[in-house]
Amino acid sequence: MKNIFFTPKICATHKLLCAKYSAGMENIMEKRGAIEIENLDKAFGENHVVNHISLSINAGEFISFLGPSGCGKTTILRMIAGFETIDGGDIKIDGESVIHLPPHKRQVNTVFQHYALFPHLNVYDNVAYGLKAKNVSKAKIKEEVTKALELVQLDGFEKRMISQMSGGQKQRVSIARAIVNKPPVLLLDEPLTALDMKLRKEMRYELRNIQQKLGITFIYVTHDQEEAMVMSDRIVVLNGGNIEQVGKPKEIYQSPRSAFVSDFIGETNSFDGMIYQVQGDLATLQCESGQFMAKTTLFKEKEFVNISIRPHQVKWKEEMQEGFHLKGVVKDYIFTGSFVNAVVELVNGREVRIARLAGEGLPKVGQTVFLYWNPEDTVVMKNPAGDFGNMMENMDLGEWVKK
Amino acid sequence: MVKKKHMSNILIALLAILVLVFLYLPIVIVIVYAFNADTVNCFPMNGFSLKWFQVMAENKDLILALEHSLIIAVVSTLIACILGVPGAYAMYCYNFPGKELLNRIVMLPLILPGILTGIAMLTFFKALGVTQGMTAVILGHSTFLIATVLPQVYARLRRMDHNIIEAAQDLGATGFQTFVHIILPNVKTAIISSALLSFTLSMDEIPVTYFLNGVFSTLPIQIWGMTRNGITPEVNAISSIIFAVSLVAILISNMLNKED
Amino acid sequence: MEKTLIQLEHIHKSYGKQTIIEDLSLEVRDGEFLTLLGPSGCGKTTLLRMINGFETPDKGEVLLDGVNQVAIQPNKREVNTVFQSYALFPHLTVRENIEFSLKMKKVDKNEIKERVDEVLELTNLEALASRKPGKLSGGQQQRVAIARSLVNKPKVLLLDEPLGALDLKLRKQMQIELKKMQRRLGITYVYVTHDQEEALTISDRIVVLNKGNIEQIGEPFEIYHSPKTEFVASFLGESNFFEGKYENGVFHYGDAKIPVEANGTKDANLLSVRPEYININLGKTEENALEAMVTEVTYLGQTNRIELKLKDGKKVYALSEIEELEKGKKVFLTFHSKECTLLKKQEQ
Repeated sequence: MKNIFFTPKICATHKLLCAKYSAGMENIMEKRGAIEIENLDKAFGENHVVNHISLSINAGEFISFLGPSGCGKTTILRMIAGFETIDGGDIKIDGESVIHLPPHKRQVNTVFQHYALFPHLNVYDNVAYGLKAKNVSKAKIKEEVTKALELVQLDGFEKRMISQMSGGQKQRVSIARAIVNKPPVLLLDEPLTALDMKLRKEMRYELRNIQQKLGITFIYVTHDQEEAMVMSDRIVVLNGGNIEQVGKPKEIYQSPRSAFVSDFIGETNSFDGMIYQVQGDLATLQCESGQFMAKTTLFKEKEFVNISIRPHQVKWKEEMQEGFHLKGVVKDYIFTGSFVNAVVELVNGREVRIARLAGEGLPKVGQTVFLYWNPEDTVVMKNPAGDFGNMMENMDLGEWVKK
Repeated sequence: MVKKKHMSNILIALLAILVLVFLYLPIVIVIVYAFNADTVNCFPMNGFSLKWFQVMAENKDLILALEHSLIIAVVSTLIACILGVPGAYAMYCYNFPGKELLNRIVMLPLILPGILTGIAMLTFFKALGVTQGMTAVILGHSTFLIATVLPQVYARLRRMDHNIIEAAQDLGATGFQTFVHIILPNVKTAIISSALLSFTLSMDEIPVTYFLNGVFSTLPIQIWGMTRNGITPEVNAISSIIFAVSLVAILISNMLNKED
Repeated sequence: MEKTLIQLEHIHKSYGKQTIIEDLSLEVRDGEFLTLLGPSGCGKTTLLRMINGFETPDKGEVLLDGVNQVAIQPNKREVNTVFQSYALFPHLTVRENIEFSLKMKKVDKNEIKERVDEVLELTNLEALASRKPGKLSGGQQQRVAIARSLVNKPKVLLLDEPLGALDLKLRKQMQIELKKMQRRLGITYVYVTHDQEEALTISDRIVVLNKGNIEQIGEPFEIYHSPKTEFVASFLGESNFFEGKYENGVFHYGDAKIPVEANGTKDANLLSVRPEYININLGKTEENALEAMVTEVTYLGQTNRIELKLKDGKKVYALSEIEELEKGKKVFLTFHSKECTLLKKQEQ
């Protein structure tokens, strides 16, 4: 007898429903840790620290808040955690507003800059603290603490007292203590600042690995753009309480949207100048130091702009190249290890840097060089200053060629 | 958390107000009745008058007692500062055996009941041959006033960046120059505020003074004597003035502490 | 002829049972920018404090210009220190902070004004002269700390991790400023830091310290390209280490024969290669290329950091601008034969 329930049509629908159900479940599980920041605002007296910020953070993403001291990055983090009150706006975690909840009721955990470990407890008790407070069973606590310590590579250190541990070890205990609670969101407030440079660089990759293994959202605050570039899926560049740009590290590095961002991220050679001529998608720019080319259709002739080119994109030859009038003499080398920078002094005294990996292909000190580069690499942005009165009078193209 | 007026906030505020009322209502009443036109304290007041202040000013014994109190307070406070400030600095700079113990003991005179301190000092001074009188009282006051000055100055020093002492020396200052030019200016507010507090404590002090004073009277002891026979309105007057002066001193002291 | 300005001879120092420094000798040359570089606890700050007098060695001598400093108090030594926390006097203005040392030495009022004005101009602080430290930014406080020391025209300026508290961007600017200032004034600087990139950028010579011992002294380029020990190779920049044996121009790593132009010890059992000297080839271009798989690519802006795994599971890190590398790709690695360093493995 044919089974009337499992006709092909019902079968197919059944399969479809099952597929949707499990996909739905996965989506629900994946969606933990998404944050919506809406029009967030905060002022300390007259100081407008956070200025109507809106941002969407995806579940499972490693996002960094990057900016100089006082830009508001730590304040925003603390508002997400619940340690600061909000003057306006909303913060939603997984769709639910949390601004009325005290810190211990929010689904976030924080790793502090100075660890904030409990000095009177050993490693195990520090990490277990949050679980004990939630009355989790002893066996379960042991299981979770062991897992957490393994993840931060501190297995075997359970009985050590905090006072006997190094900075790097303390930081890892601090991380273990936060993640053992399995929060969907982990907040990290410049956690590596107190460490030696060498250890710091190593811990960056470790933290990245931990985040990828856990799959939870990491919100990381730092003033170190190298750190942000290495660790983040996306970077939020902040300045004076405002978001300057949000994007993937490569995007922000290659296509900065403002002079602040291009200057803050990585090294750059930056000029103030003017669009002299536009032919198709190729623009000729002029400034006090010289002339160069850029690929852009966003600007018109006679517009004042800010131009920047990264040191490792600057090329040089012993003869003048078409479209570029930048002549100078190599004054010095700056050695930073894997990269060597040649400092070129242009005819007007301005310095331009050329960077090369392992110093390969750099001109010699004392050599006269003509600089050029791929016009696509020139970053051109609107110049906020806008007025160059004198500059126009002082420009004399003929002079440069002679020198 | 968004600022919200929760029920709990209102209740706590209410409780705080009730406690303050309980503490200060008696004092407020004293001040109000200092201006009473009548001799008898009745409610409501029948008239407003400044005559009790005048009576108080003409009370020779009272004024003499006030003079004594002032001298004792000023001298004791000076001694407390002269010993307390370098003492705090020494504790800050050096680690000597018994330092932790000293840190705890120095507060003892403030914690012990005044009567105990008074009796102990009386016995001690008698053994030394110091007779009851002004000197004994000043010594007695100075002892517990150091307990006010030293911890405050020590706490202020600990909030200071330790490195500035080394910086001063690195720049050529001797130990003495460092103390005068760097340490003192930085603990200035702590010294003034603890001095004001000391002054107030000394003016108000009874038990230790009572044992050590012998024949003469200080202000609080005189007032106490006057109240034995009932509270005359001039007592209200003098109390109001003491309250006003103490209040000003504490407020200044508090303001200076906040500046740090 | 380089004149020796400071001599540390056979210095010993312990705290209780722990020996911090053991039989250390060091010379600082007149007019140089010398950096003491090492991890926390290596003794670099302790050495600095022996020069300015806030620490005394248990054994050994500290000589400044040939004069033994042991009996000379800190306030009488001809050195000045810039502290990590700046240690500015909070109750004095910028000008008063800078004047302080001249006042203590009872210098004439007119001379004080002249010298302070000069230093204010040098450090670009003229506009801030009447402000108090509490109202200054980190970078500005830093300059006041330096100005305060420079006004004395000391023979030596000691700097104890002075840029540690600053933002990365500001720190890099200040490094260049410090270097320029030192060159202009010709004063000897002794600088302490744990940041090796900083040391490489600003120093004339670097002293690499580890657990109270000097691992290597030399110019930045020299130390970076020719490290003498495993510690130096790994502490400065990044290094890949291969254990094996060196014989006649070839380093044997497992089955692989890596050609190396002898640069280091002959009886070496460790090969050190920096990430920028590893060439990544898509095809097997050479007989002795090592096969590897790309496991991670991190964008660094100026270049990419490529993490690879060799056949035997060993992790290798390279720097490369090649765009077409994705996770899982099979590649072949060759090393710059001249830029490999032969070392002996260090006992821990």
